[in-house]
Amino acid sequence: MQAPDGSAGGAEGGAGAPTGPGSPGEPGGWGGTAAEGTVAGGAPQVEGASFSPRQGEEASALALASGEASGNQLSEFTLTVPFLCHMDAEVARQYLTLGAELFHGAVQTELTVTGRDLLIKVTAEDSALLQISTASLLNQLSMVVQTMQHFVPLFFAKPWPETRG
Amino acid sequence: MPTVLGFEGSANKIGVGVVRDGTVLANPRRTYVTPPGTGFLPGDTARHHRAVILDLLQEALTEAGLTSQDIDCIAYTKGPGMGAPLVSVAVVARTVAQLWNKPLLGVNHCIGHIEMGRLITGATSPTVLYVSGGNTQVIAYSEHRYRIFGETIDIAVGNCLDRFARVLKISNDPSPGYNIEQMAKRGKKLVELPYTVKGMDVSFSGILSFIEDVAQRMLATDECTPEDLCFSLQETVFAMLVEITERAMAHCGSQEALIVGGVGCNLRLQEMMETMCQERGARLFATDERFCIDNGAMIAQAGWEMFRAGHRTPLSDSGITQRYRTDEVEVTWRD
Repeated sequence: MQAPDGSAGGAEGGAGAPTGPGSPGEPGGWGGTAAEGTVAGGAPQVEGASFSPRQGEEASALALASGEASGNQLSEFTLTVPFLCHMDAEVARQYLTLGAELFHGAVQTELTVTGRDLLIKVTAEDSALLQISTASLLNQLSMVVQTMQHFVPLFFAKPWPETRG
Repeated sequence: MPTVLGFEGSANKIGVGVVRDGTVLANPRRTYVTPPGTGFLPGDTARHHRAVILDLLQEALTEAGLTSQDIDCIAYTKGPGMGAPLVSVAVVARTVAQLWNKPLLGVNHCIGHIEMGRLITGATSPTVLYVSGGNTQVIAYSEHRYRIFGETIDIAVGNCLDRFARVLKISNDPSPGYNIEQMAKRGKKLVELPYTVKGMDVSFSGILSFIEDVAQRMLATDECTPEDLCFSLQETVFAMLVEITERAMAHCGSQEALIVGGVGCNLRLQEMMETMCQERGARLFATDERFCIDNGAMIAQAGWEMFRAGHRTPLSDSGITQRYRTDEVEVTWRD
């Protein structure tokens, strides 16, 4: 699959697309370029994504950064996406599960729902593949949310609680 | 009277169509056009599709005068095609199917073309020449399968034309194949090109390599014009297609031929096929650009047939597949 252009991914992803889906190292930003205002104001605030080697493998990560090869390096991307209710998060989880199968085992994707939060964890040995798969997953999540917004007007009717802002 | 909503987005065209009992109620479409000399890449194409699909869906419903409650089934292109665009469209189809609580149907893109061709033309049991940028197959129906009698062993004929258009920096708007066709009408000289038919199959990669190689030299020395090259390429590849189609018709004893797929819009191809059919006492069927080129209504039509025959695609099986053979589908809706 063609690697998405990180610099254009947010702006060209359509109204309401998250900023920088191709840049998993950056804190999650949601709806920064919503020209049509479909996400502005009521959008779920995505907690900061993390994209890092697993804990306990920092030495290997440093070795990789310096250009040395490491046999069992695993990279991981995690993201918590809050929804308005448990059911919405569960619906999104079901839709994303299939997209995760595209990489035939080279990338492991875990999608779980806790309360009204959708927890996404993507793991791969190949960091490039990890970046591609997380970008793909985020694009799909964006489409799911946009579709919900478009056809379920009350989806974001409630103002986002100030305590989570 | 089931009403089916169909999503198509396997290549650079994205369409959403609505079909009810053989009537196309809506069929809006958008095309991702790249600059001359370039082709469309999966990621960019998917980005285009994501940007327009929801508006297109709304446009289809508005044009058809329907709401979500009037839809009985959601059909989408399961494959074959480009991965990222297919996924972008499948996600939306899957989402609306769940939101509206409607059954979902994954449709084979090739069968979508065939079923729309049958609907529009009324052909009963034709030998089908399916020619597009991504596929080149000669197909005939037998015992609940669309059997592939012949096909390209490398690239599709449309891909050959599109890539040649890039060499000459021909515009991709509205499509490179259309512009090649217009230029070919002004061609006067036939340049001999490799003609590659292997039994029931064809090969286009060699002719493409050859013409890419000689084009610059011949143009630079004024041996021919770009129009001559367009004319020569069309004449050669179309003659190959006519040959393998005729061979399949002879094998099946078929008296009907149907052209589907984007390259099927080409009037010169239709003309050559018509000549062959007349010589055989057969009848040629073809559609216009509304239904030849990838569109949502063809997916809706195939989905309509499948839905009435009892097909359903469970959510767990509603992914996409880039390689989906035409003969993998059991055609239970035909005798």
